[in-house]
This record gives sequence, C-alpha cells and structure tokens, in this order.
Amino acid sequence: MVLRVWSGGGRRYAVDEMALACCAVELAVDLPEFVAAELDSDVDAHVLVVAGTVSRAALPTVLARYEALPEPRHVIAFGACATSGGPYWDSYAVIPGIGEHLPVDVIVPGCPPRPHLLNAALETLAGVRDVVGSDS
Amino acid sequence: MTARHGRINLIADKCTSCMLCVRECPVWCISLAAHAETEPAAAPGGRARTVNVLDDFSIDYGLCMFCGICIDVCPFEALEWNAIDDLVEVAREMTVHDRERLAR
Amino acid sequence: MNVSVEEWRTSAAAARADGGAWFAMLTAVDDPVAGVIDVVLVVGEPGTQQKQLRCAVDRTTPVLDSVADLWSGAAFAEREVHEMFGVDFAGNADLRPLLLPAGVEAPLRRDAGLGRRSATEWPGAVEPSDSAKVRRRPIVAIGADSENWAVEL
Repeated sequence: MVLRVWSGGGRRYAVDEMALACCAVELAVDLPEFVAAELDSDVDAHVLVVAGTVSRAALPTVLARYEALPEPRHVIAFGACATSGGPYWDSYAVIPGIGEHLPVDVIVPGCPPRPHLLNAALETLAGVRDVVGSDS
Repeated sequence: MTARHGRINLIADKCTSCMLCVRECPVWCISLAAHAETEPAAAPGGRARTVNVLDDFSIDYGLCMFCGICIDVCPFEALEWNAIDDLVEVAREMTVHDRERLAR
Repeated sequence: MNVSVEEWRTSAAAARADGGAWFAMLTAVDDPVAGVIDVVLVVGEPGTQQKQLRCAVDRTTPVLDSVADLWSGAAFAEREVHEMFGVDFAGNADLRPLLLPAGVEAPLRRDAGLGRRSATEWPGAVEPSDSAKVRRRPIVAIGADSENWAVEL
C-alpha cells in the first residue's frame, strides 16, 4: 500500500497510489497544495488510484490492492492507460483499462494528467459518492 | 506563446472534413462524420462544387495521449490547444467529447 | 560476421576463445522479406573489440544450436528469443516462456498482428461523405504497410 493524503474540495483523503508507470511519477509530487505533508496515524485508505499501464502480469496485484481496501472503497483511473490502455490499447500484454475488472468511479484523462487533476478527481468523487476522509 | 497540452478544441467553421486528423491519430481516438453538399457555381458559367459538411466530430479523451499530432496535421487550423487543464469524468462513456464539448 | 547454421557453434567457440568470454547479447531480427530470422550474438566486454556473429535461420522452421554451454548467460537470452521469435535452440533444455501468457505466440515477428487493433474498425477508413469520388490509392492505417498486419493473435 502506498498511502498518501491528497486534498480534494477542502477535505483530505488517504489514497492508495497503485503506481504502475509514468502517471505515478506525476503523483510523486511532494507539494503541499496537492499532498498533505503529515500523515495522520491509523488512517485507512478508501480510494485506490490506478496510475499507469495495467499490464496483464500486474493485474492480480492491482486487484489484490483493491480487495485490501476497507469498504466503502472507490477507484480512480488516473491517465489514459488506466482508463483505456492508452497508447498501448492494442497490446497483447496490456489490459485495456482497469474498468474491465474494477468498478471505476472517476476517470482522469491525460498522458499523463497533471497532479492537480487528482485533487479535482477527489473533489468530483466526493460529489458523487460518500468518501471516507479526514476534515482539514 | 507556448501551447499547453490541456484539452483540444475544434473550430468547426474551419473544418473541411478532410479526415487527416482522424487518419493520423496514433491511437484512433478521433471520429468524424460528414455529408456532401453541392455548392452552386460561384460565378455565372462556373461549375457547381461538391463540398463536405461536418456532421459529427468526437475525441475520446480516454484514449487520447495529448500528442498534438491532430493539431499539427490539420491544414486548416481547425484544431487547437486549450490550456485549460480540467478533464475529469465519472464514466467511461463521458470521456468521448462531441462537437459541442470540443468547441472553444 | 555472418555465419551459416552449420558453422554457428564452431564460430561461437572460436569467438569465445579469442577474447570473447564475456557474453553481451543474443537477440534476433525478423526479416520476412528474405524469409529468415537473423540471430545475433555479441560477445566481448564493452570497451574492447566485441565480436558479433549473425546467423540467418529459416523462418518457417527456425532451429539453431544452443551456445548456452559456452556462456551460461546465453541460456536466458535463448529462452527470450525462443519466446519472442519462435526460434528453437537445439541443446537448450529450458526454453520455458518468460513473460507471455498462453495463446500469445512470437509477438516480435513482423507478421504478428496487433489483435485488438485489427479487430477494431479504423475511423480513418471512412471517406468523409458518400459522394461519388474518384478513388485514389486506398488509404491505409498507420503501421499497416504489409498485408499481414491484421493477423489475429
């Protein structure tokens, strides 16, 4: 579990960053306007952010990370590869989007999307689902 | 001015439905439909011309890798970057932006 | 240097004896036009005079002697060439697949199609309207420059 606390719409959410490829490099940003510097103790992630190309070999790991989240849990597909396979949609080795295997709540198009779009995605997610988070 | 790779806008009035963007897109995320119309002769004694009129145009941002090849290849500058960087959708179907959503 | 299938092992052994004890690379290049797969072996430490051996094996039944007993590092590379190109290495007992799932065969061959792409209708295949137009040469999708590009995987 790669636990980081991202802000979204004035609240903070612990997310599990499923770092697969270049999109994860975008999420590795460490600026306070995106990511909280301090992690509250005993915080659970309820959101899985799939960031990067989902290869066939990596799929079981992604699914296991989702299963490990406590309910209510949500999935954000971050970037073209997680959404549809992206430029690799035709590859024998790539799953064309994690949405084939997991219920995706929010999609962030981009190649890669810039980090502030994860904040926007969390705000959108909170607008359509009850997301467990901490109040800032 | 540096173009920022935010979203892509279509200026429908400039589009002649030449299909170059559709064909050059490496991920095949652009779709275009058009129909033919006859334009009467421009001057007396001239010939009537057949022109393509754009009906539908869409970009599937779920596939788009924001390479900008479509923008570069359009001979009529009907596609351009819009630096507004705000794409978030709640369903896979909604990542397909049609002509209205692609307008400036 | 180019060697024949028969000369492969003796040439490899000679290269090993002549400063080529360090295994650098064993890979392949598919040449469907010539009907062969070029197996390429490079030995010798980088920075020294490396030796390159190339052997064209028949594409329909590609078989070459293994050199894994000369360089233990070659065993893994032969496994990879076998998996990605379908070349059989006689004498290498372990040619198990490394990465590919069942049902995917020799994807680095040039006629291995992109299954999902060939199954998808190219949006650029449509003429913008159905007005009667003089057809120039048919427009082909990117990457589709051979007849076999749409082979199902």
